[in-house]
Amino acid sequence: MIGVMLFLGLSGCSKHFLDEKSQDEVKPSTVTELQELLMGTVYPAGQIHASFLSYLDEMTDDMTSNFNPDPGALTLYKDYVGPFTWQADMFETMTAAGTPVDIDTYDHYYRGIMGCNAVLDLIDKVRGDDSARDNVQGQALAMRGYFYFMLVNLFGQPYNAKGVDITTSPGVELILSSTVHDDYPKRVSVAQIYTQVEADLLKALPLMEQYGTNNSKFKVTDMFVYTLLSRMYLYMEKWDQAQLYASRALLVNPLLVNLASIPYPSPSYVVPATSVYDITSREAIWVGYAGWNEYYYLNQFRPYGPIPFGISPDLQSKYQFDRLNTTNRGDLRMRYFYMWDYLDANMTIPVPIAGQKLSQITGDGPIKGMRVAELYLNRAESYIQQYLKNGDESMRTAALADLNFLRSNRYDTRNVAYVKVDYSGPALLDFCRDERRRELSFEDHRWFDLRRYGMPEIHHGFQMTGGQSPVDYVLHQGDKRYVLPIPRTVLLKNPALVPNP
Amino acid sequence: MNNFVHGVSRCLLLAAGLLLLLSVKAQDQEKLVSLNLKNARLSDALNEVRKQTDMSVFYSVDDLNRNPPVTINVTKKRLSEVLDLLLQGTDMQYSIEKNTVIIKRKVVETNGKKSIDPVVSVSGLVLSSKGTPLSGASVQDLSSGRSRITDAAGKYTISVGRRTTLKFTYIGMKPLQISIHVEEETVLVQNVKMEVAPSEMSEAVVTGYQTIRKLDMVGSSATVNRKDLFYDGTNTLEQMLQGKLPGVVVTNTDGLIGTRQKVRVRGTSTLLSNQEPVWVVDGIIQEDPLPFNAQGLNDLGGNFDMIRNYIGNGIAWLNPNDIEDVTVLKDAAATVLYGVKAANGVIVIKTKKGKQGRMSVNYSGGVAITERLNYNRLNLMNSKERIDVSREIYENRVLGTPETSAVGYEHALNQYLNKQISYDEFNSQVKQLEVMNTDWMSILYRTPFSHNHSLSISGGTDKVTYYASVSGSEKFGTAKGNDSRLLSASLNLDAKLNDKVTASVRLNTNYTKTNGFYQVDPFKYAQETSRAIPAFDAQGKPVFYDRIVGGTTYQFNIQNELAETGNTNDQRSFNGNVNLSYAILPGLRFETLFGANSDNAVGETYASENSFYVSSNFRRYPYGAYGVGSPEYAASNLPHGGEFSSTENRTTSITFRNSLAYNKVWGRHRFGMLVGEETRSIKQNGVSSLTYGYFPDRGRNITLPPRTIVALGTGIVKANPIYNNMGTTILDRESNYLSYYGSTTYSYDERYVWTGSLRSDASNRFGQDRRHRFLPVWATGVRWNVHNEPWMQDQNWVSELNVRASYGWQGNVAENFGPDLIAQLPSSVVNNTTGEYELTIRSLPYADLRWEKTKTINLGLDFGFAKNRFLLSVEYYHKRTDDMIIYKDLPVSYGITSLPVNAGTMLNKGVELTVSGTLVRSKDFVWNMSLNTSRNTNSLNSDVENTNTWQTAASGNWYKKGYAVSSFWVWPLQGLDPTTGYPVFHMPTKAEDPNLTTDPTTFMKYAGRLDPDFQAGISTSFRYKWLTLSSSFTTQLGGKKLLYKMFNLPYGQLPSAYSNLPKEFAGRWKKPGDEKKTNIPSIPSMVYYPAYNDYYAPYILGVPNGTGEAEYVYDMYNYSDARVVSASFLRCNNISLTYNVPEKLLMHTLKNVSLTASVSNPFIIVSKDFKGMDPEVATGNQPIPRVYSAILNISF
Repeated sequence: MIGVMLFLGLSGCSKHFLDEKSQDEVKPSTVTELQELLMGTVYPAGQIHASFLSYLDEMTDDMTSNFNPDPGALTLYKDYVGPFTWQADMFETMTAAGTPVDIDTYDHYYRGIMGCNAVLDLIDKVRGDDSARDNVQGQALAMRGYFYFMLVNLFGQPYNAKGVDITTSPGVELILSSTVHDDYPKRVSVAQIYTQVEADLLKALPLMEQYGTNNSKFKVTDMFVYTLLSRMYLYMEKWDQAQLYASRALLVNPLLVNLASIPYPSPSYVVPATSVYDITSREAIWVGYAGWNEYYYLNQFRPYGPIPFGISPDLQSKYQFDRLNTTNRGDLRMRYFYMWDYLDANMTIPVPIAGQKLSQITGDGPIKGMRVAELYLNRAESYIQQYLKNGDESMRTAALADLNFLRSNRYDTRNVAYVKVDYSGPALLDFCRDERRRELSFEDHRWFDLRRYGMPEIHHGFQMTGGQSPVDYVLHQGDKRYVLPIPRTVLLKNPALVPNP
Repeated sequence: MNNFVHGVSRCLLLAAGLLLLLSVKAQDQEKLVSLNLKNARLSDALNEVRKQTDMSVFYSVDDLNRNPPVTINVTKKRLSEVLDLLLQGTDMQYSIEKNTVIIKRKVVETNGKKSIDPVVSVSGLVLSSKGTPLSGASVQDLSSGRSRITDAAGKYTISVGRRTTLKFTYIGMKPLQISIHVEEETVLVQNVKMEVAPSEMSEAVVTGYQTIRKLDMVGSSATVNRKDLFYDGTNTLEQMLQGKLPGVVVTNTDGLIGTRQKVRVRGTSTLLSNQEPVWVVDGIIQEDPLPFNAQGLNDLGGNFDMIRNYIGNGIAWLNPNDIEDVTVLKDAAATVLYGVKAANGVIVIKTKKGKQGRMSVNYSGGVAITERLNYNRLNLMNSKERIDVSREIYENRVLGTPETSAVGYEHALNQYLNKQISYDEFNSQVKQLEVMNTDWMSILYRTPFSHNHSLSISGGTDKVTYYASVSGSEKFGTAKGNDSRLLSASLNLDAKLNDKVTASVRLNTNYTKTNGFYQVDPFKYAQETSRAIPAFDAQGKPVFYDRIVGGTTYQFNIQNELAETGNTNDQRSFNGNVNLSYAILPGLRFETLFGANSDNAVGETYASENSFYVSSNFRRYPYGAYGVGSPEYAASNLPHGGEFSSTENRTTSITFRNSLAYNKVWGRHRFGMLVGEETRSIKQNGVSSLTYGYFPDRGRNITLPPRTIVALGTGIVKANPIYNNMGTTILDRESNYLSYYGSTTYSYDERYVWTGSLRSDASNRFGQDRRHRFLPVWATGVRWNVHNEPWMQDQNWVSELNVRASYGWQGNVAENFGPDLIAQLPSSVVNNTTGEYELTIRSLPYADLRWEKTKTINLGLDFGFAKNRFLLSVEYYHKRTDDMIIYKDLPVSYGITSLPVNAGTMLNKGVELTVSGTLVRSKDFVWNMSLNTSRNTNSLNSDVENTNTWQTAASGNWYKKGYAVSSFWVWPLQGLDPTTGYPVFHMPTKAEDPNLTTDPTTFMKYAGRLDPDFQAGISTSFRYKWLTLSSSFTTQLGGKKLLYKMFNLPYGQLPSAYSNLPKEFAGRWKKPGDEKKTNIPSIPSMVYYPAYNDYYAPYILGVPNGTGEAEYVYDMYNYSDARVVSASFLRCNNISLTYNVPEKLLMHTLKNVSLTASVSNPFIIVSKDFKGMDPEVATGNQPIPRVYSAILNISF
């Protein structure tokens, strides 16, 4: 009997009894699993929190606010009053108002950086073939570079800021390993972050050129790295480098979507059948982040009447667009790149109300990222800057060629041929900047462009309740508020962080 | 089983110095023996006899071998003849009982006669003081040593000499001696009544792994008997235990029915994970029916937390009337066999078992009425006071963002300002609002009637005893819609299969159904909602008012919302265990325990399409506002139907334990040893799902929402995002544990005891550090039973005195952290957009994390006076945790929120004192009183820098060197600003105080600690003739608390017209000069800052590190010293009056009838500052209600 008992007792310790077991946990040990880790922790596409920056355009001159006395509008005003009037506690006011989009920009980028660091720390210790290993490593490096590039441009002074020593001006904390230390990381200089971004991207580039060319548009590709390098050198005012990487990219893929080939959407508020960020779009490089709900809450539940927040008349005036002329509507971007709705319940006054590059295919996918159009604009601007510096006429022609090629793909050319533009001198630069605004509005470029254009003065008129009178809020030229405040929740967790003034 | 062990230990006590073995098998004939020995020691000769007869022989080697060696040569003689020969001429005698031979010294007779032949047959009944027969009582003839056991009817017969003394013993009864002195008679009838032994501490402590004789117990434990716990039919076991066990603190957190209480044993010892004690029922560890931490698998949202609150913990299935007693094991020596998980103490529940004797049937039932909540105890404004605040906002032009003008004064004002009503109409409307005084409490609460019934049958023979019970109850909470129904049945069987094997079986099955709330909390609503909002109009119809979400106006009415939402949970459990015990050899026993618990918990929550919740979150327009064809309808995520979520969890836990116990006594030495192995496996399976399109009143149908929607303003046809919320998750987990344990005890002469124990565990937990597998836990202790010292025998005062000391070591590792990076499969493993598989990071590698090591010293002293009529027990403990693991908050830039670190040491010291006694004892009047108190001090010595904020310091989570856990800091209020009425604080600058750092504790004021220093429970009972009055009290002293937040407003927001405000806010600053009379600030008003051309809420420059952070002064006021109150309280848990119907009035089939009337929570004595509120429930939860109950107890 004892024997039976003991046998039963010991049978419990059969060899699988203590095997580590978990329904949902894995110890990554292959390159494939590291790629999955990148998909789950680094790339925002398809994640619930893919949208984390949708207040940024509220701060630019692309947005305006109108007073609407409906009590329902009050909620919308409260949601965005912080960024719209550049308040020092904009993150806190958005949190307090319960703004229905994610505003954890700072946390989001660092979570992504941690994912990249974790992958880079493990990359040499896992099984898998070397091509896949190099591909994963290149992606992790490029994404880390991208995140730091975004962070330093949101929370640090512009690289080209006048009177600012970027080797001392605080950027963000530089974390390059997934190992956590006891000390509090300090902000390193803007220049140091740029150095790291450059190093990561230049290290990633050969890896991606060799192994990353067939990656999907949700992942980092060679085109991604070229585009980011050209954008970075543009911000650094290294025009020749910006031109170089844009050209290298355009050698790989020079294609743009011809808007005139997309059927004109009808009825008036409906989005086009396809768009520039669709996965099928030939000009999409990286279908990156943000989603259909970007500024959705601003418009979906608004009361009819004046739009609480909408695209500014200044921006609207930049387009040569005629909605009612069916022979030649002109610049189709006005109709295709903006969300349209009615000002009244009778559905008779359609207006563009916010920027959104949605299409019927985009559906739930990302609507921001990188695309070929930016490369033409980056290269054109580089040419123009060099032309303005040394008067090289070939640079001017090259710039105009890029701009006209882009515009010819944006105009209604079904019945009327596109008419080329011709500018010279500073007017060419202004035209190029306007073109960049027309093309890349609401893709998180405008804020950064304004910063590198010398941080011009912006006015935002705003009125929240009927009892108040409208107030003209001013962001002065070179205003310190051109650098976003570090959110309080971030400061509180790290006493070593110096807040932005 | 336990009685059996008791019996053994009692016999061992009686025959001290002898080896003893018990056997029941009858011996029909005497065996034949052959011996051929020369000059052999008597013990060797008897040993030979033992071998040949296969009988047990008891003797004292010392006594026997004092006699000269023997030479004997016999063949095939009867045993008795051989024994006669062997013992001839010695001072030894023998007796043969069944298959046992007992050899002992002859009793020296005073009259000189060597021995007396048995000539008198004494017989009779052994009865309890109440007259019930006692079966199994032992009757011993002290002259011959012969003893008999009474039969099932309590009858005994024994043959004795003419002059002798009979000793009657029975467990739990006072031993009784009767002298026999007869001259002629040969037959004598002697009935005896035995009295219950006075409140002696129970003879043995049941730890679940072993039963330790009280005399050998070196650890710290306390036991409370079921009859000393008060059950009124609505309270939980935890509530019954409040104040009853020293060192156990039970805190109520909510007054709802079916919710859980917080239980802490000896304070907070670890900051890691779970701080609840382990619950054990009849040796089986009870698992929670829902997984403790289903992180990662409950992505479906907060619905499941809601359900968890209403599903009871691991012991919710237990019928309180089936409980025999409850023991808490506190120190390392007592809990060591439970391993690491017992760091928070162990509470062991023993259920009732059958007793030998005729069948007894017991009915116990009761009814209870719960008192409804009312505004008196809630300190809230009435309509007039609330309207006055709104009026002041308007008339004084207080600046800020109004939340709404949909109701109240703001509504009337808005209509007047928009010229919709005249000034007179406005005035009459306001006048009407001022007297509105809607009684939300009476609308949402009730005075419910609950009842419970329990019927049990018990009895048995000397072979089999049984206890069976069925019970049912219906409990109704005072909140309308909160109730719980329970049915349970249990069966306990104990059987003696043969003389070596005993078995016991326990079965229990239970069904509980609880109804609660979903998305609405009636108490929160009643507390927070302005009384100037009408509930019904003049026609008695419910009034709906406007609530705006995301720009759309919806209609809200709380009763409608309650009717359209719901939460039901039912739980079925089955518990069974079988225990077999096999006596392999004398002193060596093998035991095996197999237990299986199976639990099925199902919870459902729903909200119908008529609810505000569904309208505002999913449909996004009011019910019926738009029809097919409108863009809103096409854009709606959920144009029809409501929400339904359900979760089902099946937990099966298997315990299989085998142990070998060895006990041996040599003379005065007693040695005991236990080794065991345990395997435990807990399997959790479950399915949780959330779905939309539910129609509760249309056959509970689910019609899925449209697959695609047309987004408003874009016309884009896209997948309906509501499908992202919908989904099903499957839980499939298995936790396996393998443990080895051992314990050894040595005692000398029942005076000096030493014990050492060890346990080691291994589990299949994922990602563990293999170096930490089989982590040992050990403890050792000594005990000195002073009252057994020879020099203590001549006095009568001290009946019990012992001193105990123990030391234990315990290691603890942070779960879920190991040396590898652990990734997790997210709830949707394939990304719908990218079509790729995904993994997320669960935890980073932590290679350097050391064990958390806890060393515990426990010292104890028990005193009993006057035959234990008065008992006093003092315990001191010192628990030091080194390398304590805490979760440190990390800077955001590390990408994860926290990580476990070794953070210095924590010291817990405490003293526990228990005093009990019978103060008065006479025939008609008895007064018993017992008091237990404990004092715990706790200090931290942590060198980890806090990354947290002043809010952390104000909430008691700041770990500061030299301060106790739960210490908190507040802002010192300087007064009120004489022109604005703002609270004024002084923020010290670096110039004033060079020692200033960013550490908030350097510039805030230490306010005390949240946990009480001292807690006590007092129970007392008076009995006068047939009436008994008992009551029990709990007190907690020394803790401090912050009152509820006076200003619960986002920055710059004005008090909402929807909300009610604390009554004391009526005494706020209103005009200059008021600052001398009050410290309650004015209504928060924004201030105009010309520099920014904007209005800001009043701030004060914050943390003096030059960062320029600003704190909102009204928020600082919420955490200022003006809001600190003493949390000390004295709660009367219950007062009850019991009438025992006198026996002479009962029909003879009835054994006992008693009636009890009682009131629970009749009063509480607490600081005035609480304004009559219940200090125990966290602010914002429903107070504990008062309950009146009547209980009937009948047994026959």
